[in-house]
Amino acid sequence: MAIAESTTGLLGRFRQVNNAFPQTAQIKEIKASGGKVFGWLCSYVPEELIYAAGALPVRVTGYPHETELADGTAYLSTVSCSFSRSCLQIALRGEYSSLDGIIAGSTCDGARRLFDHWRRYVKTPFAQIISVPRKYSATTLDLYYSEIVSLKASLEKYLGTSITDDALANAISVYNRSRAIMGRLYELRMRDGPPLTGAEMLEVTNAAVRIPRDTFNAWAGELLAYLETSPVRHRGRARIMVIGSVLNNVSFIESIEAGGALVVTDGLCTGIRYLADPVVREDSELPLRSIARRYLTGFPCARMFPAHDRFDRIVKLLQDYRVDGIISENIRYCVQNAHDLPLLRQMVSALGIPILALDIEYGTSGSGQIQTRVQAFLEMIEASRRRPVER
Amino acid sequence: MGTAIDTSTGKISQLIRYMKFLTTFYRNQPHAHYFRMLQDYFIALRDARANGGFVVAHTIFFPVEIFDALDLVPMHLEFTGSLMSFFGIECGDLLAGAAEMGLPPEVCSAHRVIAGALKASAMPQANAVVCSNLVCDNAMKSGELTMALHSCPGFVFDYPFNQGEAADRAIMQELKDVIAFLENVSGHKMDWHRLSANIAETNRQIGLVREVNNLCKAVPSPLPPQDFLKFLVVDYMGAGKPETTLYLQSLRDDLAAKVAAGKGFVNPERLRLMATMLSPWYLQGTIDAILSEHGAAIVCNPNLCDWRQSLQLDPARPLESIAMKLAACSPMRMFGPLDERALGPLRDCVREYRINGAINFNHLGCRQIGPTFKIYKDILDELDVPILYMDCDLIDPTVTSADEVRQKLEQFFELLEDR
Ligand code: SF4
Ligand code: SF4
Repeated sequence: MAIAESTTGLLGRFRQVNNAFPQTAQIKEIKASGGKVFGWLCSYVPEELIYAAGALPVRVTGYPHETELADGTAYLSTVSCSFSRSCLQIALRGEYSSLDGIIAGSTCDGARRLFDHWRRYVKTPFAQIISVPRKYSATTLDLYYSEIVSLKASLEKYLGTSITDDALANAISVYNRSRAIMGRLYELRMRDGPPLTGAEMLEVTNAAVRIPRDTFNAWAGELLAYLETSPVRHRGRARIMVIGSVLNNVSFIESIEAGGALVVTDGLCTGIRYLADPVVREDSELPLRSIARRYLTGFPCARMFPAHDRFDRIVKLLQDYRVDGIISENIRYCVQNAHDLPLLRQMVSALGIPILALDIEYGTSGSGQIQTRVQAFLEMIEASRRRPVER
Repeated sequence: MGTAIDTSTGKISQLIRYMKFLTTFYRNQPHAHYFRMLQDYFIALRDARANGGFVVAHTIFFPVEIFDALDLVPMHLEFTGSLMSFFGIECGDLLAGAAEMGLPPEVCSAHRVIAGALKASAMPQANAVVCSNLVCDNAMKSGELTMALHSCPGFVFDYPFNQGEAADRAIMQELKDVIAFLENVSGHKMDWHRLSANIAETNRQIGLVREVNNLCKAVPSPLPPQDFLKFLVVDYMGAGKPETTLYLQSLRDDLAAKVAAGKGFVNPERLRLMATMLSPWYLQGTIDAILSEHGAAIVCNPNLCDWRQSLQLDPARPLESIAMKLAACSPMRMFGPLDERALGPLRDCVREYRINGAINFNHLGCRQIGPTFKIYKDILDELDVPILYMDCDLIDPTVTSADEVRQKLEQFFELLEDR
């Protein structure tokens, strides 16, 4: 799948950031000038708050490739997902030493145990975990809001600053701008021949959480402007949606696309879930309250109840992006996604959309075995297209 | 995943037959009360449909006192599934059924058994489901699967991770909401007097478990290690019931007499061990036998039934009492952040129970215990207490054989004896 030169050039900046992370030029620059960098763990931690505090929020991720995780496993044991083990291993090896703080959410067993070990053994100066409810109601919104109010207070104390409502309102508009640009990039993929591949899109969303947001908005805006009119058209044997556990590894998507598929959308926290749903300010509502509502009601993770809220969003995407098949990648020991599979299968099979469930490790680039299964899956989709409709 | 024929009455009747047998077998002994409590529990469940009862399936930790006061028939999903496999009812078939549904082996077997049992219609039809995020990711998901497969309404009790005032407010509101939900779906009304009476009973039961735990500080310790599991079962299925109080009272009296007579689970007692999790359900008797051959006893478990926090439930304030109980029960210490509240009891137990070694039964798939091992080990290293990491499974006997368990335990005992 050839990539047009200009696209490559515009994407190269994102790729460079991703390859260097967590030792990017941008982070080094911020640190050199006395700035603060905070790591966040999981998409239920409101980045806007960190941004409004004047610090750089970066998403904590693991190795971008499959590797042995001896340290991570020695601490978290094999029954923790390889994402949490990978993150911890990087941290234990000092590669996240530029972080001034770590902020986590009680989103799943893997994440909360990762935080326990991080706080105890990595000893990043600032460490806080917030309660993240599993359902949306007036009670849970109040709880989550009070958690981020207390996070705000801790950040203010630690940084010796005050996070004003104006700063929060500005953060909302900066982040909403990112969401709008990335949302438009996604919409381009609804086309018959999208101008960017699934792997390329993942480079963009990965970089979004690794560089200063204003830089990202500028770069992503330039990419969007180019792609809106670009003559590049990617086509594949089947239009695929990827769903499942956290996924940062671009080469995994590349390996699916190398087999002739085209990944046109996803349901991932590193993909559409990250950029969907802007923060909406309701009349006279405090900005932090609007932020809380968005994080609790946005495109849900598999951890949220009821699952059909997420399933409904998936069905909508299947239709909007004219998806031929779903690849569900589940990191071993990521229970919430694994547990959803029976119901999800039932739902998509009723829609006549096939699903391929892959058990993987975080960072996998798509082994020969995975490629073989993807090939067989694509052939099955093609064969079902050729099959005459029975009357 | 279509609805199969309801074969649950047969499975539950099989459980009832076991309980009846064991009640008779242990007559005049404390355990007779325990098995009678379970027998009554499953009879109510089996006959619920015929009696016009309203069955509420629920996951671990839900305060069962509420069901009783609403005159509902509870079905503890994890323990009903686990007891089925504990008593040898097609555990392999249930796990295979879960695999067919697409649940990978990484999902805790206690929950795969539930899925398998739902698929095989081995669980009675629920009229409603109440589940929570306690104490791991599996619980809520099993609850939701039950709602879907039994096509019934459900409520998620969303328990806050961090403690504090906001969390207290949220818990109280969730309790009120879940009662309103249950009243609404069942048409039953909460009997607040009965709830208060149940809380008074639970308060007595917590006191009795404390007394039993204190008796286990004696050298030799009088309690057979597999009884720790019974404490869990009575708390999760029998809290607030008079039969449970009778069980704990007679057990306390029995153990007190043994302590007075210097009789222990093993005599002489050479090794005093701490467990940080339950041993596999299907190996309870085997492990007790191995321990006793080697003069070893498991005398405490800081994560199960260890009511160390001072706690006085107030029947006049039943909901506040339930919230207090939830916050204080020992497995909940594993749910929140692993801070001093969670880890302090480990240190305290070493001192209070004069522990020589600890065993971490690491259930394949358990999201609580395996990942804490390193932290536990570091704490116990400071106290010069070795800890054994034992890979096993709560329910699935194909993961670790009795021989492997024996070999590992014997090696560990040797290490302890050589010190
Ligand atoms: S991969 Fe799954 S289990 Fe691991 S941190 Fe993410 S959601 Fe949690
Ligand atoms: S054994 Fe572990 S994983 Fe299974 S239900 Fe209990 S806490 Fe959850």
